[in-house]
Amino acid sequence: MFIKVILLAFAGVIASLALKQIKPELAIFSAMGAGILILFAVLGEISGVVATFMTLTKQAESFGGGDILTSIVKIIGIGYVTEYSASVCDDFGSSSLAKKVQLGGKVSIFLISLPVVFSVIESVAKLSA
Amino acid sequence: MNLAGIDIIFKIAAVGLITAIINYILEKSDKKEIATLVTLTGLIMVLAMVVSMIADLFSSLKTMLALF
Repeated sequence: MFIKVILLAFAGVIASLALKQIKPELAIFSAMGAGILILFAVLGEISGVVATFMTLTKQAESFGGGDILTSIVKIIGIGYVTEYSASVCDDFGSSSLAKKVQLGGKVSIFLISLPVVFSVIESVAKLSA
Repeated sequence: MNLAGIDIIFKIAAVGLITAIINYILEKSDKKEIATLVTLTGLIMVLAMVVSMIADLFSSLKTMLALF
């Protein structure tokens, strides 16, 4: 799988270099296309990991770990997408936009992780009380 | 859209090269306005390709990671 990622990256770099002299905007599009294909290659692997996690939590449902795992998977997805779009914004030359995207990603991850923190605190309170 | 293949990247590169060549020919035969139109169409074709790939990416993210 990793070989495919390397090949896709090289193809994307070659295409964007070839297009840079002729048509600079198409170079950026070819880089975006290569990025998307690499994400697809990696996404296949991540879904396998997620599936095994799901089966694990099925057995560990007794102490209520299910919703925590879905938020973890969501955080993985958000980090995944924000990193990609931030680097695309960098490619296009506007680094300020990339920082805004990263800020948005951080905020959304924080929002998702809030209930998990609360549940942990509640369980600790229950234990101590 | 064949997701695993590198051919999409080379398709984008091919569209860019072809539009550049056609532009060059049109400019040499002093038809400037058609050249700009050809550039526009090439750009829009590549844009459509990339947008459809992004749509595929987000739909598979939604199914696999239950993101949205």
